Amino acid sequence: MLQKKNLTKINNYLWEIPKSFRKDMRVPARIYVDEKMLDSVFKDKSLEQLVNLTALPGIEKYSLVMPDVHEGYGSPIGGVFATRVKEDGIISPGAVGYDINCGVRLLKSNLSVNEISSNLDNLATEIQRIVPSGLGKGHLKKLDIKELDRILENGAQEIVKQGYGKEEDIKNCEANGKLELADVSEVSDTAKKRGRDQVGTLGSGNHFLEIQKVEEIFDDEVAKTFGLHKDHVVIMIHTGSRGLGHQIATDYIRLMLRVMPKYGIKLLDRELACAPFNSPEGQRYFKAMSCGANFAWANRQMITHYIRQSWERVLSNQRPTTNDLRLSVLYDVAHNIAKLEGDLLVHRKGATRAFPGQPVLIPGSMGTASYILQGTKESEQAFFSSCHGAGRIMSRHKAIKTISGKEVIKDLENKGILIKCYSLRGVAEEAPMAYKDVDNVVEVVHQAGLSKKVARLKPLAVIKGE
Amino acid sequence: MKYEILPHPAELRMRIYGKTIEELFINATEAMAQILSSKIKNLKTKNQKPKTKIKIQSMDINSLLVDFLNEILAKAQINQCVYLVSSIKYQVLNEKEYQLEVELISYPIERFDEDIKAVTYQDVDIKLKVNVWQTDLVFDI
Repeated sequence: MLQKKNLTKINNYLWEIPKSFRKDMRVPARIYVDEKMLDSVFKDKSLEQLVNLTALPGIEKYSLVMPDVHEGYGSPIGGVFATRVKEDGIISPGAVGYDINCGVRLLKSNLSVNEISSNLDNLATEIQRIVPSGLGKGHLKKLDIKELDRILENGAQEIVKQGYGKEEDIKNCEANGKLELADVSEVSDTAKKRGRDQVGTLGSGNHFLEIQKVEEIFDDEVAKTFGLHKDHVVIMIHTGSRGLGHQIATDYIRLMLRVMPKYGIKLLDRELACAPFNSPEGQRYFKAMSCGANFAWANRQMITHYIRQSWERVLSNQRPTTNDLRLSVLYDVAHNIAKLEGDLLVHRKGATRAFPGQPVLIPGSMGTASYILQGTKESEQAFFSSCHGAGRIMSRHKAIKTISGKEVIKDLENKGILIKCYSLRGVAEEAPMAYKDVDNVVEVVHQAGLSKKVARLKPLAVIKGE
Repeated sequence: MKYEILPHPAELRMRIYGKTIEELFINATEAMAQILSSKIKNLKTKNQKPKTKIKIQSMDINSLLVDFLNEILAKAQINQCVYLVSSIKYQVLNEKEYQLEVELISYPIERFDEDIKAVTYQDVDIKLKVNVWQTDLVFDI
């Protein structure tokens, strides 16, 4: 059983579990937390799962977790590790997660809060109406398989090509919204059937759309470069690859379990099932995962289109007429993915890529602040990664049993935050008290040098899945 | 008891029970159906559609349970239905091949109560304890 005494303190924000802790560890494990958070990481299986990562073949330097860590399956949420692809490094679908390329996109407006405040409710209602956000809900029109294949191959670029966006949207998207190695022949028919009506849908759980204002700017110079202004309105999109991505993960975890013995791989946790990156199975998953990632970027691009429609429909009618109704993409970044970065394959499950200079988007829990950070050179120590949100501390089941959805809505309304959700149960599940304090989480990555605070965003209206 | 909910910080962890392995599989299917739609008890007598047969093979009994439930989950989401077991045949073909042949009854529903992304292999360990088969299951929700 891992205890505090097993950890070595590297600095005020970084702790290490030495390689000697368990026989099968190939490298140490690292934890980014401060003293206050340290006790909480022992409350679930997060650290056991972190140590399991260190036993993966070809792992480089160490496995690590971000301060928003909590127990997942296979990898903990907030887990990051890299494998050496030129040697025996593996790829693990379970260490990417079922929601491939779950991620965040931020749209910037040229309007201040005062310019939209009288229409805030209308805006939120219209966005909720136009973006399907329910449980398993999709669009009435199902794409045929050829149409879907083009999206899987070309991601957000296909959606823009069809007229639902601008070239600049793509330029401001991680990997330009398309992973080149995508191969639709590696995606099962079942996965495609699950995704046919889900392009442009939000889904449920912790996924949300949020109208926010820039509440505080920490770095004027970078904020200026990013085009952020205090009190201006921005819109955050948090969703992923929906049922299509879930099925790709399911299919390939099952496949990996079958082939692991062939490669002599033995693991304590079957959810980490893997194969060498350069094996036929490893390559097949990477190509299929790329399709899932492309689907998620296409999904966020289509939702962007719907939000722009809503924005223009509602605000073009207001008096005095607003001239500038543009919504431009600041950035779009994944937090569940495996990416080839140099000679390493970096797995991030609930962790955001944070290249130097890049906007790093951190969604808060419902009704709490979100953050815009900037990647740093120092984050090389974490394979250029940062946190991805607040991190749960209360199970959804317990939240439903102990928190009243009505009370949450009332509390948030008292704070001037509007909630649009078809289900009170969904509101209770995602209540702010079910999560860690995002301010503390972000402070740790800021102090640890993994990314620097640029701006804090306050929610004005939340549109969430059920 | 057929199943119960256990604590998990983010996902849904359940413990499933059965007097036989077949019953454990039947109860696990019912547990998942109950998560997908709490109305399943009322649906049992109406909205029933023709039966669907599935046959599935896995490398061990634990994988068989997870693979079976994931198969049903995909069908549920594609067809907007929940499924219960009508009949079941469990066989160990050899040391590395475990097989299930199942006849399912599907119940069309308008909406799901919960969006299950997948049934995970986390903590699945089917064991006989005091004459009752049991295992934990973690659903990614």
